[in-house]
Amino acid sequence: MNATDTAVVARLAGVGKRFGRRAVLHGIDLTVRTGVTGLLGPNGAGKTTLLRILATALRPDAGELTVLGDDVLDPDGRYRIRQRIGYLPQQPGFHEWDTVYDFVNHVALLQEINDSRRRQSEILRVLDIMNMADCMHQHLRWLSGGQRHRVALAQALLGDPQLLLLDEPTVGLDPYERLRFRQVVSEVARKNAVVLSTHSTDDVAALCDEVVVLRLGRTAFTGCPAAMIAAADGHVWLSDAPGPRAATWWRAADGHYRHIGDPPPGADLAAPTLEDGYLHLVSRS
Amino acid sequence: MMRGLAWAEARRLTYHPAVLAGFVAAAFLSLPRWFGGQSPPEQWLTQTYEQLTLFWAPLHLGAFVAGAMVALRGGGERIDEMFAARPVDAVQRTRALFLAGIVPMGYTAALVVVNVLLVVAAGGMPLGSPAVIVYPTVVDVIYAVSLTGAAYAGGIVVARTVPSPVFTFLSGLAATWIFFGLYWISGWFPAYFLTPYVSPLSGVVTDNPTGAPVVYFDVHLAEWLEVVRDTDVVFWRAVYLCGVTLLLTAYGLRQSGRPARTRGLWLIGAFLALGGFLLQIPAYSGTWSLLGSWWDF
Repeated sequence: MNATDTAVVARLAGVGKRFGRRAVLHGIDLTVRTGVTGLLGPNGAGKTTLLRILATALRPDAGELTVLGDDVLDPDGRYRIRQRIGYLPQQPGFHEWDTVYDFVNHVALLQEINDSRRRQSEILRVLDIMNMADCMHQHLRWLSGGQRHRVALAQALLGDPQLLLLDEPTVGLDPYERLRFRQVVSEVARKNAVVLSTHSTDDVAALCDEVVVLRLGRTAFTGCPAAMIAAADGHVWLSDAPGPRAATWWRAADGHYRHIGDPPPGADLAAPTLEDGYLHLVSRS
Repeated sequence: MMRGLAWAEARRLTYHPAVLAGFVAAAFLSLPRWFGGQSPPEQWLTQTYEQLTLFWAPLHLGAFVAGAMVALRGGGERIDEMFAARPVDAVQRTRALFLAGIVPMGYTAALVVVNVLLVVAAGGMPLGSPAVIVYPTVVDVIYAVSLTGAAYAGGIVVARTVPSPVFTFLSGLAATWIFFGLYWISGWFPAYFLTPYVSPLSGVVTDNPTGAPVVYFDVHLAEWLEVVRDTDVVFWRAVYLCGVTLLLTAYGLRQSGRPARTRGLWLIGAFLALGGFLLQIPAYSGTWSLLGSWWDF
């Protein structure tokens, strides 16, 4: 999907956030468009905080932010935004003694899907998408971690949100469910926007039209995955021995040492992957 | 929207284990003694009537624990985060939670009415010596229902203040034991008019024991006492408890995230709680009555 044929869904200008004395985000400028935007970054980079601000769960301390054409600082605007977004937090909470159906029904009521017939069909739709329809009468307490995560994903899909915000959505999913998740997200992204905070460069490579790398609360990179890979061109090396001068290196399964940064003597230049591009960005001083 | 959410919360409470356990325990304590179609034997002269209301205590404890459990479900912060991006905000969610308190109140009303019907079927309750036959009043039903409402609201607020299931359960158990099991220890002013339990009877010292129809000898006071029905005090205690419920609701809404429009609740709650408390004092021992006898079944 090209940036030119996609609609702007959210626009951030100079957004900042502090928790006490600690500044977590510094002047973030970002435009989110239809399609999938991947948020990458090391732990503590500010990904979850940025996602929570986009989800209106947290107010920014500085800057301007419009989501789906509404200002998040305006109470009426915030209400309109919430009617049109879906949000999966990093650590979802559940009513443990509810059945899957009852819990998703509760969230549907919170999403103001008030017509009971529409609500019922919407619940069945999202549970079917996440392959949880067979378990809908089971109590959440007795589900596995992966199943609970799928319930959390299902509730985020209620009401066909125009902006879907997912914080580490593939944690705990088995390979088949991960593939199914990618199918769901790519379908949603055909007409809506998805922002995906993740540590998985595989998910980003498979899904994202746009990648944003955060580092120490600042934007370290914004662009398409191909541009991120290109950023590591000429910086990825293969050799038979580790090179201590490299920014980072590891022994690959084939026995060769892969280096990012300065090459060791006798190393061969290698074609970078998205993961190399990410490591190159975050390992630069 | 509020109706749908409150309905969903209420539906959950209809089969909530704490509510059901309270109902079953109260039914087990209060109903079987009337199954013979006559008043149960007494060990002291006011036992039957006093125990009638004391045995409803598990209903109130069940409501308190249920309120605490629904307030604590999901473990607090995580569930708040899950729902943080939804159009229905935390204040509205809390409001629905309080509205669902109608369910334990309904359970209480049902059981208490069954109790009253059994007493009526048994030809009433003996009171005092020489015994007169009396019947429970509408006010007894209103009082029991209002106490369940206050207990449910209290459970929510205590759980939100100290978010520990163990603490809330133990505090509910301790309060039930102190206020119902050991109800006589709060028989001093002003505690007598502020605690959850109210006796439907009081004793007034009399110097004419043979002339009074319902009297007994108090061994602690070494005096003859005339038994007086304190229906007015029970009524004003119910009003006081309604006020406390509204105050707890207002506080619970304030706890739930952002300032809500709770001024009306605060004002009406304070008015009822204060008024209910103050009007019990002149009504005690039947010295002043606003109700007359309209409340008799």
